[in-house]
Order: sequence, then structure tokens, then C-alpha cells
Amino acid sequence: MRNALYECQAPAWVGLARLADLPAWMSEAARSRSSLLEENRDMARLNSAYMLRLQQAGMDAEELARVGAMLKMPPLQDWNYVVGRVIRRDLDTWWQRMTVQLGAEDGVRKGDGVVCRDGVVGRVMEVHAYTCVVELLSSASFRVAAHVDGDMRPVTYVGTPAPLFRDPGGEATNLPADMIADPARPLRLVTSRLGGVFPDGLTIGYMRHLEAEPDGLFQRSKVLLNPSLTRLREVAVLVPVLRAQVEAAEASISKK
Amino acid sequence: MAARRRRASNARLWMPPLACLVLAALVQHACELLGESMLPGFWLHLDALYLVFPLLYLRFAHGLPQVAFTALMLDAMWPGPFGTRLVLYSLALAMMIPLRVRVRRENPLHVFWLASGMNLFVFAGFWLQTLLGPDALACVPLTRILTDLLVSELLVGFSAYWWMEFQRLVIFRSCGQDPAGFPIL
Repeated sequence: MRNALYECQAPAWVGLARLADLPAWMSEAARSRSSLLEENRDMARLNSAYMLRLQQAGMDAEELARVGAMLKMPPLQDWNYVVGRVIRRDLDTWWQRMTVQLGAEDGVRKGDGVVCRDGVVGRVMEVHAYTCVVELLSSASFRVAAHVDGDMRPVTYVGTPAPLFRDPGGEATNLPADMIADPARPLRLVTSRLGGVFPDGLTIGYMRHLEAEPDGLFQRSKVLLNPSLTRLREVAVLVPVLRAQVEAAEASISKK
Repeated sequence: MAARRRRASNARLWMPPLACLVLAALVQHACELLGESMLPGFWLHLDALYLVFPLLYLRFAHGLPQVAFTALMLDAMWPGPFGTRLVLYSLALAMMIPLRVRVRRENPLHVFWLASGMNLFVFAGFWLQTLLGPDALACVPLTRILTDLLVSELLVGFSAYWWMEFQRLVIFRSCGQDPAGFPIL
């Protein structure tokens, strides 16, 4: 019953989100031709730089595969980035979630990671036909394996309940006791591939001060998240390539 | 023609829940905009606005289905357990039905206290539900909860009368019948 009521409301929320985007679209549409041409030129330069990096990444991937084969390592997981628009945000007293216009039809499944340009956004909690609900990184029930950039020792990231009139944050626990943070050069907390949900090295947040945990063996720290986390318009869901291939094969078999 | 008139005369039965859903969408959007621009870490809970009109202008037999419909629609999008709003709204309505003869719906002050009380009841229900739920939800700072509650209470209190009168006006304009003219007992 909940699903039925949810699905019948979903188109209305998509429509409302489009309506809310209308002023931004109109201001974009009013831009001059010369400014568009300038942006086009900048994009072309950026594309060229990315093409070069892509060629380099291809070589690196081949190298990695060769080394992996020599050492008999399991292959690294690869993801498709499926981009979708945010149509609703529930950042109320207890919950930190957003609804994205991507659903089961797009290959999204419960537990998939969600990212944006600045790093991790959250994890898919509910999947409907054309929409999914994402639990944000700042949600108190969000947990993920992480590590500090440049230090592969695993730590745990946990979201903290949203404080009053402040941007949401999180907490890192199980930080090694020998780790030192400089407020002028905060430590970058990144995702670890241990959880299997996110690729390695995506930014979670930054840590300025570390404090010892009660047991004295580890440290903990508040994590400053990207302040635009609650203002995102578009996000990408990480759909594992292997799973997508398996599902496509199953679908073709069932059709036959 | 007769069928059209009959449909129009039932506006008080189908229009309030639709108006409540539109209001809920507007409140949601307003909270999102507040969070984006000025006040991150703040949210409005205006649940009593969905209850005042059915309580003060409709019979229980007419008001309860409307409230149930609104509650279920809102529950479907809510992260908490499905049916929480249905139970809380129905309880609030059922508890206030015997007392509504003492409330003057023409008096904004009476409506202020009624709406604030019902909103407090519903908010307390949500709070209790989260306290009984996972541990992570139970550790939301008290300052955040109380500020959300206080501002929501004031806003609900001050806007309930005008929201109710707006619904009444819309029904009057659409079918020419004043909901105040129908018996509620």
C-alpha cells in the first residue's frame, strides 16, 4: 500500500522539482551568445585535457590488470555512474534523506552508493520504479568504511544528527593514535573499497582536530562535510558493472 | 446539470484533503529553500493544519476518512514507519471530537490553542516513535528538537485560523455552500 501511494505521488514531486528549477532555467536561457561561446571554448579545453587523462588512465588500468594477474589478485570492482536529478529533500529533525529521479528501471538497487562532484553523497535506501530514496552521508544511521588520504589504515565514518542552524556533519572513529591533524591543513577522509559500495579515494569530509577515545588506543574526530550536500541538484548512483552485465544477461535469457 | 451540482455540493468532502496535500508540498518546498539559503538544520512540522478543518467543520464520519487519506499520502513519503501519521492523526481527531463543542471556530484564539495542542500531540508522537526506534535517531540534540517544535507551534497557532478560513472560502466560492452551514454533530 505504501508503494502504491508513493508511486502515485512520485510524478507530482518530479513535476514540482522541475517547476522549482524553472527560474534557474530561465536565467540560464537569458544568457548572451558571447558568454555561451566563451563557455563552449572552456569546455572544449577541458574536454581535451580529459581525453589525454583518459588515454593515460587506460594505460594505467592495463598495467594494473597485468600486475593483478601476476599476483593472482581478484579484479577490482568497476562502476557505471548513472546521473539523476534530486527531486525532494527530507532534512527534518530526525531524518536526512533525498529522493532522486532514478529507479529500478535504471538499474539502481538498494545499497548502491551515491556520489557527486565533491565526493560521497550517501547510499540508496529504497528503490521504486522511477525514483529512489538516498540516505545522506550526514544521516545518523549512515556508516561507511573509510581511511585518511595517504594512510591506508581503516577507520569508521558515522553521520551525526543535524545540529541546529548548522550544516550537517559526521564523526570519524577508530583513528590510529599516532595520527596528527593540523587545523591549517585538515586531513581528508576518503572512502575505502573495503565496504564494496564505493571506489577508493572519494572525499567524505575533512578533519581539523583529533581527540583521544576513552580507551586511549584510538582517536576520534568531527568530520566537516561538504556544505553543498543539502543543496545538490544532481547526483550519480554507482551501479556495479558486473551486476549490470549479469542482470542484462538474465533479462535476455528470460526474453528468449 | 444535476450531477454537476451534486458534485459541487460535495466540495467540502473532497477539497480539504487535496488542499492539505498542496499545503504539505508547499511546506516541504519552503523548508528545502530555508535549508538551502538561510537556516540549515531547521524544519517545520505543521501537522495540525491538516486536522483543524475536518475537526471544526465536518462530522466525524466525514472528517476521519479525509484525515486518514491525508495521513496515508504523507506517510508514504515519510521515512518513518508507515501508518505513524494515520494513528497519530486519528487519535488526535478522536480525542478532540468530544471537546470541539467548547471551541468557538470563529475565534482565532480558540483555534490557536486547539491547533497548537494538536500539533504538540503529533510532534510528541513522532518523538516517541524515534526514541523507541533505532539508537541513532534517539540522539538528536534536544536544542534542535525544541527549536523545531517551538517555531512550528507558533506558526501553526498563528496560521491555523487563516488556513481554515481559506479552505472555507474556497469551498464557498466553488459550490456556493458555506461549510459552516452544515451540522457537525
